[in-house]
Amino acid sequence: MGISGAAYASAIAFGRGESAQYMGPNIADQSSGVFFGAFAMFAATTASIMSGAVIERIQTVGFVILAIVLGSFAWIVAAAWGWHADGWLVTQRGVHDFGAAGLVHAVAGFFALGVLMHLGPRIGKFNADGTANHIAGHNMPLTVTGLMLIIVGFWGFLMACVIVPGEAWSWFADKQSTIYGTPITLSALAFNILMAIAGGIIGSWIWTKDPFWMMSGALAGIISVASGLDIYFSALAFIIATSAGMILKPAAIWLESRGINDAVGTVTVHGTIGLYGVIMLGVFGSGYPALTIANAPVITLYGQIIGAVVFFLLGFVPGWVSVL
Amino acid sequence: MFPYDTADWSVVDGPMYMLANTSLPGIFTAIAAVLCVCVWVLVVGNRSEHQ
Repeated sequence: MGISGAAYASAIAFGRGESAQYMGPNIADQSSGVFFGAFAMFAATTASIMSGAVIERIQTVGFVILAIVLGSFAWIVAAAWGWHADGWLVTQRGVHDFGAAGLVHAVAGFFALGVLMHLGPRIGKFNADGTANHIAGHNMPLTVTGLMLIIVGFWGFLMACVIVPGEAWSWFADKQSTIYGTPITLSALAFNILMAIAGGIIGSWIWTKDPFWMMSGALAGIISVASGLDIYFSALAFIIATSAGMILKPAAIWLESRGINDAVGTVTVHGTIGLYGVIMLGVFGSGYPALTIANAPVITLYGQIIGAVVFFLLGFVPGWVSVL
Repeated sequence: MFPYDTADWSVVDGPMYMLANTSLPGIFTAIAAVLCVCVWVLVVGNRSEHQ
């Protein structure tokens, strides 16, 4: 389609030009605008993921620069390699990450880790002997409400990853598909997301009994199955999400014990669980064709691990280098 | 775990979730149900009620 950001923005502003037809009501093109908007949101999402990790100790200008590096470079490269039918991770390794557990969440999460390693902890977080203090949020109801809003947003986030049928650029004339061109149903998305939320909440409840971690567990649950939302069976999605919820807080505590002050658990929820989800799909989804072409590469555990390593590096290295 | 003999999407004409048409999806459901009801509600949940 070849819509550039500048052309698209100008078309929206002035209502003329090639791209204007994608934004306004147009019976011949129902969803190009949705797809464009969704990807703009993904870019913004990467920065919002990082923001939670670095709060209370970063200057606005510094944060904006990091957001540009992350939102316009790091995750874009990951998406080009692993979220496109021509990406080398897909064509050569059969990597499958439908809901961007690795290429959005893990990239942003480990980008934040790279930043945090330079940024250091908030004042008062760690004692002289290295033990950590708990710095509670100011308002738990508002915090939980915010987390619930993110959960609601996930439905739109993930549904917007679906390519609708019948458009000039659709894979199929009569059925929805993923970005890879593999078939998907809205029912699968609806129920797997729901089961992931339930599993994540229950899993994190086991260890924490804490509403903050339980709502974070819901996010972790969704992220842990996002890679395979198109092919998981709902009960399996629930079990994987539950396991993600259970490892959430122990993983966050381990990170804290290494002297990293991740204020809201960003690195764990998005980074660690994102990679966990990518690898879990390799465990359960091996053998699925990653593309619709004949003799397509298939999903394998080895390929998913390769993808996880690449996503980790694409997040961590730019984050660590950007703050030098 | 592709539920068709040939790893090709062109042969898919029905369920495409993992292990469709086998007993394993039902086993996943049973595991989830046992975990929820027996382990977490009756054991962990009941214990936390008494704390």
